[in-house]
Amino acid sequence: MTGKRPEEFLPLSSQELQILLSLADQERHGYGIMQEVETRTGGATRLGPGTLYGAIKRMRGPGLIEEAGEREERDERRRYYRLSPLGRAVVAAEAGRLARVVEDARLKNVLPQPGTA
Amino acid sequence: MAAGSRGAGDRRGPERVLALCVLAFPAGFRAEHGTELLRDYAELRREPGGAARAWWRVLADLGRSAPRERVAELRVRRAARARSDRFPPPYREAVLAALAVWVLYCLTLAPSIGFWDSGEYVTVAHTLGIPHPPGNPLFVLLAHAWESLLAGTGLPAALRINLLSASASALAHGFWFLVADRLLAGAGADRWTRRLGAACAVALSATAYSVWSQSNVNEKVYTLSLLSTAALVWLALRWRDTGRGTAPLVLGAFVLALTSTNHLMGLLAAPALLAFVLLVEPRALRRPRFWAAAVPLAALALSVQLFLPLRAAQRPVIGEGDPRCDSAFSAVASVATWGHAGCTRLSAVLRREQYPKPALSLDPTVYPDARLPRGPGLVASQLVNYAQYFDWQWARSVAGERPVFGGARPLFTLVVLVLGLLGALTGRRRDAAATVLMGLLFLTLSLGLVFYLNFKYGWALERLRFPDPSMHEVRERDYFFLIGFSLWGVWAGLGLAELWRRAGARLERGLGRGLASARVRAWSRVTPVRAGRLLAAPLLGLALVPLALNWSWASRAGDWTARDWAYNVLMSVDPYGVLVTNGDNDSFPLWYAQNVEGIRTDVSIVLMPYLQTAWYAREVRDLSRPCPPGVDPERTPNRVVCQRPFHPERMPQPLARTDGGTPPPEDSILPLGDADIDRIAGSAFVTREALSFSAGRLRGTIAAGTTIEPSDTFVAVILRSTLGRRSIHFMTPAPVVDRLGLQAYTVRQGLTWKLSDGPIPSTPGDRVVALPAGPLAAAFGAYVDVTRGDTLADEVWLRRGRVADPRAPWVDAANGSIPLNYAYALWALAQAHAQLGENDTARAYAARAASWARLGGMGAEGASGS
Repeated sequence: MTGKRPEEFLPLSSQELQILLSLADQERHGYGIMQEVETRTGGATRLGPGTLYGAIKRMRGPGLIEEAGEREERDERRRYYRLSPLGRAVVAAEAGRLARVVEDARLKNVLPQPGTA
Repeated sequence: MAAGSRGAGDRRGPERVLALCVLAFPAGFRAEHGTELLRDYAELRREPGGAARAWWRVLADLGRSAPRERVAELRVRRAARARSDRFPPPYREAVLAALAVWVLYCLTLAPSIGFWDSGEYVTVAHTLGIPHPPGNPLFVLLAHAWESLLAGTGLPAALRINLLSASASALAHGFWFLVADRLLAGAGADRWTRRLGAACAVALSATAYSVWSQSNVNEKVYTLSLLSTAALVWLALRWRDTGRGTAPLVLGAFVLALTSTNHLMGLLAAPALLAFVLLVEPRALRRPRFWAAAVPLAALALSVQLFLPLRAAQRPVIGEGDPRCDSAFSAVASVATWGHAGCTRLSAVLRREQYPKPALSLDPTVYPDARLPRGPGLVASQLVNYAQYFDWQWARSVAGERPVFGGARPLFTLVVLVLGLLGALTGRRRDAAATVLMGLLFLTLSLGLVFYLNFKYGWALERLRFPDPSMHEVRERDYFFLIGFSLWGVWAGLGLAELWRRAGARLERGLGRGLASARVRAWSRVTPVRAGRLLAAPLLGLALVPLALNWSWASRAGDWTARDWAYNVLMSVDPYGVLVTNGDNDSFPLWYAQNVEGIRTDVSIVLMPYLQTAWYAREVRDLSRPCPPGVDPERTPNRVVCQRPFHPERMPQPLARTDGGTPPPEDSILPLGDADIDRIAGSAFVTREALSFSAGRLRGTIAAGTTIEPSDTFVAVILRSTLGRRSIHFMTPAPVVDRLGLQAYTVRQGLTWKLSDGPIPSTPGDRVVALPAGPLAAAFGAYVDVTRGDTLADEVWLRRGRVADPRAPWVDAANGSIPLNYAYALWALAQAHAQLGENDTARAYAARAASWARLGGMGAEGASGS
């Protein structure tokens, strides 16, 4: 842990945000992260392995992501990753930041209010 | 687990391809995530959508992420190096130093060509030609590209190429700044001392006379060698400071090989660099990785030499040595063996066979007529010659007209000598390896060069003891030693920094804090400089002495002399005339004027020393042969095609009146086949008895015992083939005219002698005047064409810029024949007008002649024409 505040990591890139969101509900291996992100975003965000592991490497350094050990899956040992407490705080901060942006857009009538057409 | 850990036998084709692709990522990344990458790329390939789409996803991801990871790893490594670097280089200050030097050189830059080789090098750079052996292909390619890149500036070609010299030298001094700073750091100096010391080093080096005067005009290619040397010294020091890896050594090997294709001068840094590497890390050169990378890269660098045969095959308009090869293999063999095997013509160029050099043990002053040993007297004179040039570097304008230790100049030399020794020895205990590097480099570039070059007596030395000009160099050779002088300037800067440090410390101790000015003490509390050092700071002003005392001699600002000389000579020649010249100074500026500025391309220039060779005789033949129908030589002006046309509309108005409408000639001036040319080029003979020579209506006698060189025979052929169809002119002096006994037929026309095509009648009212015999008759000519001469001297000739300023010195006494040529032409006119009774005109010409004669170094009596 670096002792840094979550706000110091903002703003996150879209790839970093998606990876952290993917790990928010459970530990996953690399390919699992790629699949989950693609499914959740309806194909809008498709991470390649090089991009994924580069981002994982950059987020492991400051401690946003931790390795969760290796597990056997379909006769192969895969390395799993999980969100660290700092990582959880960072993704929450980023989500909060984006929520405030959405709220401002609604106030400005750029986006419709929830429940309206 | 790193990529590639599974056995090769388990891998299918696509997986092998994926394994290769993963190698695009840096090693550290592969060690961490290699297995996952391979597995996930394989999963991607198995996803629905087709193989092509899958591979596209794989490659797109690789293309995005692998370079980013490589850059990230480089940044991490650089940051780690910076953290461990005890001597972070002052790059910003070095750039400022280089910029300051560049500005200085721009302020003193020649606006056009200079004399000697300048016209040749600018011309070959512009035309992608081949200069004299060894051909300097790197320079030609670099200068041509540079000139092209600056084409949009609108600057003239020659000035653009002069800027290359200035820029190379300025960049070299940026490296010298870094070197000086590092050496002072190694000696334990503080930051202020290092920066100011490095600035002094750059100031002294950049304003050393030979360095400066070679940097503001492109007369030679040595500023590129200076750049490579300074860069290599810096690279060596950085290699030592940053982990002694293999990559810098490989880069050094590449640069050494590359600089050799500019000139071998750059290679002289090799012994010192080798010694440094062996002292610092003896095992470095035993690494297989070094040789595996260095050998192919060096071969790549040397391949620049292949430009010579490739370009020669296209017959460039300047293609000295004609290094064409029959096959690529023979060309490569020649380059690989540096001319000891393979293509004969290319080898002859690489080994400079055109300039036979005696062995180092032989006396060059009598070679090849005699083979005497190189005695101690000559060696001593060669060392004195070097000392003479060293004495020029720091205060050239002090007694400048006295080239050999004149006036008070040696006192300045002594100061810089002492400073340089102090600089060389400072820090030797703390940094012995760097001391060896710099010391060995200087010894190679000074005493080593003196020994290797084995010059004849210096141009200005020993003239009383050895009056025969053939025992002396044809010009001063200070430029050969410019890298060594530059290095001494760096040392002197280091010495100045050390002197400042010691003087400051002594002042502080001797004066005591109580005596130092309260105001200085108050200020010195704010700055890091101690009071004593502040008081001693004026010492650093010594670094500016060469700047002040060399400026008037080194500056080439406003110097149009060589360019205007070329213009004036070419305008002295009739349309489609032949002009026989003697050497560099009456030929190379003309090449420039013709091939870069397009002035009088119709004139056929015949350079006597080159006419000893078959390749040049063929070039003379082919450049003057009539053009086949439909062939326009001006469509490919940089190549030998055929006779270039005369353009009367481009002539100055006074000459256009008389020269318009001259038809093109119908034959080459040298109508010989290749076999005849080869035969003549290989034969010289001595006449056993007097021989008659005739060409048209000319009759001459060749004295018994006259040596007839191949060039004389070729000229005789030109006379017989061309007289009466083209006018034939000679630059003066014209020994070949004397040898063929044709002196009586010479008519001075401007700066040339025109050969009459028969006996010259004396007609009343005729303004072709016979000149009386006298001590200078051999220079004036037998007759003078007064009408033509007046037009040229009064209405056509250019004399502008520096040479028109009576205060500006003629800095190169060795080409004092240039102003003397003007003087002879004007004196001849003065004499002729006097004989015609036009005394006012005669006096005016005599006064003009006298001003040129003074420039050429004639005393008052000579300048009066008596």
